[in-house]
Amino acid sequence: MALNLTGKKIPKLHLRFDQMIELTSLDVNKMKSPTKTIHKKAGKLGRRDFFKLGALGAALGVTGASQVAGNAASKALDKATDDTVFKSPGHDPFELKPGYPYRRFDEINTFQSTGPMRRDAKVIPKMVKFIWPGFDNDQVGYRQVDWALSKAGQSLKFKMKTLEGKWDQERFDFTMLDLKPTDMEDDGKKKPDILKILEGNYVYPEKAPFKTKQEATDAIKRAARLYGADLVGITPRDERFDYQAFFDPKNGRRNWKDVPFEPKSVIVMAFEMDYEAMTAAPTHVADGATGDGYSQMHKTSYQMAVFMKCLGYQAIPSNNDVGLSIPYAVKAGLGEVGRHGLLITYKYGPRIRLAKIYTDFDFVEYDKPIEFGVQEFCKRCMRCADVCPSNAITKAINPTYEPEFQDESNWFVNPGFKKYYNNLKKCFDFWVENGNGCSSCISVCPYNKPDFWHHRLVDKISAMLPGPVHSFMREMDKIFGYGNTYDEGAVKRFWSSKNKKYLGYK
Amino acid sequence: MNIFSGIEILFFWLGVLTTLSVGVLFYLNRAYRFDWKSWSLSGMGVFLLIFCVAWSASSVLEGEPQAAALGLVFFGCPAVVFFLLARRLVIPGKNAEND
Repeated sequence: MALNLTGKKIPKLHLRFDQMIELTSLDVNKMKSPTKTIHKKAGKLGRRDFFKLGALGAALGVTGASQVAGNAASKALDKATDDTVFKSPGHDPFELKPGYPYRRFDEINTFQSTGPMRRDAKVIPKMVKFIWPGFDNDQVGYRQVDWALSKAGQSLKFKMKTLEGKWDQERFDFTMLDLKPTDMEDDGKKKPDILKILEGNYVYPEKAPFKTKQEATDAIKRAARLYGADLVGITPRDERFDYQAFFDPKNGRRNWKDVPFEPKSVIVMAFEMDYEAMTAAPTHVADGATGDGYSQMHKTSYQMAVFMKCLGYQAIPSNNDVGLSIPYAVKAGLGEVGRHGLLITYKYGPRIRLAKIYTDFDFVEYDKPIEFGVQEFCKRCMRCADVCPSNAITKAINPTYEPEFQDESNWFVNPGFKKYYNNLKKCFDFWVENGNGCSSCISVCPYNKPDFWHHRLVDKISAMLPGPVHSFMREMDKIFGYGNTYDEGAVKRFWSSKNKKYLGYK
Repeated sequence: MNIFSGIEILFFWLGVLTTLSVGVLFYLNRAYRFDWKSWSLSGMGVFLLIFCVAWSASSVLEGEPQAAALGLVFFGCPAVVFFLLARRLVIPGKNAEND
């Protein structure tokens, strides 16, 4: 005798094979058989219940099966569309004007840092205003809390410089360029290795024994991801995009002769900036996301340089210094350059910041440039040019070899390559007026979307269809409410606790 | 990670909705015998309905309510139109019967 669920004894059933078949039969007439009655009494689970459970299981099974089939189908579809959308340009993505006497860009001309001050003394008060803008507690997006968010966001950038030794302590720029390892102590004695290891400035004498290039590449990219990079690519060094010379206001000029090794590869990393904060452009809140991006750049590039040194190779952490980040990012396969002059990545659009590491390690699989329709889309979109508060972004339909403007703004561009030339002086003037960065062109860009499936779908459809569709997509993007600027609601949504669950459960 | 909200559970329910929709179509086919036009219209209606739910729910999840509302208009309304056309084909109205 067996016990049923209620603890009552039930008779053991001796069923013939045909009776067992009956139990699982769908024939309604057989449901009235004595066997069914006995079974129902025994377990209180009749054939009808079995059918219900079976139907439920079948429905779930079909649902699950449809999802499994759907997953397989979507993978196949993804691969097919990936092959169509992502294409290698098959040539150098940087088209230089034939016969143009191209010169490498000089760091002294970077508009964000030293260029304006060196060229124009009137800019200095503007810089002071830009750095110390204050706040207005009656203006949403520019209140003290918003301002604090902005300043604290970038604080690690400045803090990290003090970790880099004397070379960088006094630099005004966003750099952590560590050209000369600080081998010597203040009293002129050579530092012991243990101290250099602690300072992250020690190149381990034995090289890491990677068996294959892929193994080395995987290790480098995985480490970068661990330290905070969202996208990582590796490309050979290209001297066209290295600064011709370096500059910092305190120490003056330096050049590549000061670099203690010959870089062979550049590891390029992209860091996603917060989407919700960026929708609040051009307020202090959006600047908080930008500043945090800068801090991430400094932290991760520093850690990656130490990582490479511990592998036995020389490395320089580089942010906006040493070389031009965007061309290197294009070469490393991270994205394409948009009308606003920023890198547009497939996953995050232009909502990223870039950092890089120069190293003499070259036993890696290099990434290749890709195209996914950005250049074509930018020709018709122009949303960034339309919303730019300082009209700094060109509305030329096609990229050009030289800027349209011929004035002091030319200091901040490097002509010769085919691209969209924007007036960075106008851009900077608005920063000063605004009291922080702007980021309107990032916020409004149709490629700036959260990482959701439907945006990837739209991106792929857009990439596969011809130009007029791009104009339609641009209008749809506006109608659907994406890319607003000067939106007080966005600031309020950023600070609101709704849907945030800071405790993890509420 | 939420259990009853979020993108994963959205796609689970989309699977359930797809299964139910296909089941309903086959059930209706037994009763009304769809022709190829009815199948096409109702099939497109089901596709757009599911796409509408997916789009709008995803937009809510990403914090873009306007995109969610516009998703209902742009994908939900055509779905309803397709269903109405399909219904008109499989269940002709009085005028059609009089013809």
